[in-house]
Amino acid sequence: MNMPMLEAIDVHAAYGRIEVLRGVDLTVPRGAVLALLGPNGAGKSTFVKVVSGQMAATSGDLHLGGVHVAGATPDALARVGLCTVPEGRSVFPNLTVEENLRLMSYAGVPADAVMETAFRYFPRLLERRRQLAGTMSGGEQQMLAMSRALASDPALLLLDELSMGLAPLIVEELYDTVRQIAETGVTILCIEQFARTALRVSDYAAVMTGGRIVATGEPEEIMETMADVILGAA
Amino acid sequence: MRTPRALAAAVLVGALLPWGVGGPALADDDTEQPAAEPLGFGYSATAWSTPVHVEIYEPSLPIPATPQLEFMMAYSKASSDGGTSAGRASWFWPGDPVGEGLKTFAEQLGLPAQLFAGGYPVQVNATHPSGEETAVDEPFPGMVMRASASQDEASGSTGFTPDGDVEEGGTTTAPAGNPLTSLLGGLGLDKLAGGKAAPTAPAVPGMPAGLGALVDFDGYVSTSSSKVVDGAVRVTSRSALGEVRLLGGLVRLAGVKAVATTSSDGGKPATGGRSTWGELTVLGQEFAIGPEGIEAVGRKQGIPGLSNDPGRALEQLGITVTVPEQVRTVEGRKAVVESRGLQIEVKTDLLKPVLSALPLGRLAELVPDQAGPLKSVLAGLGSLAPRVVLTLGEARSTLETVPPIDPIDQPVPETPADDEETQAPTDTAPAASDTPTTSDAPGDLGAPSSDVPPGTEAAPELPPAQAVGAGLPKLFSIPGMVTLGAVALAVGVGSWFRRAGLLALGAGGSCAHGLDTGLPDLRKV
Repeated sequence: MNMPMLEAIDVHAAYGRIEVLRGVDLTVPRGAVLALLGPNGAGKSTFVKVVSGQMAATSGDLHLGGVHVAGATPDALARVGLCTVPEGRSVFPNLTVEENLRLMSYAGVPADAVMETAFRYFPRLLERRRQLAGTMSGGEQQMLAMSRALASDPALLLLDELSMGLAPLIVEELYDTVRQIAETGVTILCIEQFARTALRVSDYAAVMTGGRIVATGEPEEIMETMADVILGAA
Repeated sequence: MRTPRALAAAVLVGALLPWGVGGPALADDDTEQPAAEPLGFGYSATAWSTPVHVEIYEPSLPIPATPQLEFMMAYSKASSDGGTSAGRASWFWPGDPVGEGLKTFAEQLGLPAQLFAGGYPVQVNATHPSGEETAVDEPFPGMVMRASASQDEASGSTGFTPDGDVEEGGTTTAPAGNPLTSLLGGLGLDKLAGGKAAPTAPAVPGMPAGLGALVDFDGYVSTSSSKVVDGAVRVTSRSALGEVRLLGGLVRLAGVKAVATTSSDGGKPATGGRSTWGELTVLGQEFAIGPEGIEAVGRKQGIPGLSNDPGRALEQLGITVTVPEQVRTVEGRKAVVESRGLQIEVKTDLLKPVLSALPLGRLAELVPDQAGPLKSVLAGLGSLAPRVVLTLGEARSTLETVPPIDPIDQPVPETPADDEETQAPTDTAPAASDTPTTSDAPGDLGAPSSDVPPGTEAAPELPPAQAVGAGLPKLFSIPGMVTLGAVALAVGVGSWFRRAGLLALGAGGSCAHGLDTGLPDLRKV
């Protein structure tokens, strides 16, 4: 029996009295790249927070690897292989690239291994290893954020708005790297506003709007049928 | 004036001499010995000695012991541990492996087991308290085996002497009919002649009465003893070879002598003993030729002109003569003394041509097939080259003591008020003696305590450790444990039944979709 890596069933979540997620049903197969598309305010980032344990769902069920998960903390989920690259990168601007990466060694992975992984996927970071992270470009900071996520040997990687604020060429480069990561067996859920680049590397796609999943399918199918829904397609 | 007085004194001494000699012996026989005071410590003592000890090392012999063969001429052993004691004497002892397990050896060699059912025959044993306390066997004149064991003493003595005297210090040639000893005792010279005061050893039957007055010799003797005297344990073993006495003991010539002594009064044990060879004693003054040279009047000097050349010549013949150093070891409360006189080691490689020339194969053919092992041993003798170690004069004594166990000074917990009430009938039992002393009712348990004399209560005399630690744990803890265990078991069973019920209804887990709840390791999914 091939259990999906992530399965959300009628998940609801709210900020106070404002309900953002209104019954999300989504399945991410193991080893697949799924692009979760939707306009701004559709609830995509909220869904990532619920999945990663940063926010509690008001109802519904979340299954990870065929196991019902309820009330798990973000650090506990990170230890079992669920890693999030949050919106806005969240790197330590006053530390160098190498120091940012070395911090990940506290998770149990040796610092040399963290460096080796980061520099293999993003050779540009090797050139910037002595540079303060806050002085790098947005794309390079995103590379650093992804490198930190990869250092923990994730099984399920949540990428929230990877392309935000980046030049199209940089976005292309980042998604090429995402494809490489997926080829190693990592399941990836991409939250993206700008669908075209994400769909290029995805195996499946889903469209969320108004706090619900309104369409799921192959990337080409989604592009054909939901172009009017996906606003601002890049 | 001096001559008549001297004659009168001599007559008086001669008249009283027999009484003086015999008096103490009679008193010893009639007077009951006072009970020995118990020792304040425990001990384990062993002593054994032999004047001739032959060890044969030949690994090809099918005997599971090292050395493979050994025998001792005049072997005595004494062992005691306070509660039990044993003495053994054997004028020919084949070593413990054969002496103790002769029956097994006979069975292994295919010999008739009935012949050896009684064990090794040439020995006497005395054990206390489970066996005979005295055992004597004198198979022919001069050959003595004696063993005794009692609560405070164990001894074994054996050897071959013309007068049957094998005990330490020479016992008594006087009862054996030596008239000179009595005369020497009268003149005060008996101690110089060996101090023979204890008239215990009987005369050797068949020994001419007058012969011992001129020449008395001990072919070989061995004595071992363990005694408790004045609150101390003394373990002694002695072996002597070729001791010769002239003129009732005024001149003594001892070939080889080894003595090992250990003693203790509960503290650190003391060791003693020595080994000498070529000892000459005249009027009690000892002249000895030992490993340190000549000893006379307390002085020692080397032997002039003696070089190592004779030793080298002997080595070419495969013979090595050594004088082992006496071993005295004291470790804590254990003391071991090993005294050996001379040690001669013979390597029989040179005898190999002689052995191979013997018709051992034909002899082996004469042995019936049922005795297969013996047959193979005989056939293989021609290829043997054993190493033979001959020790002249060997004595060993071992003594180990243990301190008494102090009672544990542990305070007795205060008795609850309920217990005091239950003990009340015991205290008042003498007053309640009108009640029947026996009753089937459980409530009358205090009644039999009326038999206890006033002022003697059993419980307070118990050691505190026993009073606290004996018996089962207090009862109140057991129901509590049972209750907790039952609750835990009920929770487990209830949870299992709940899950089983949910599974039967199609909603087996805690999740509404039938999945287990938890946190999986996503890397292993």
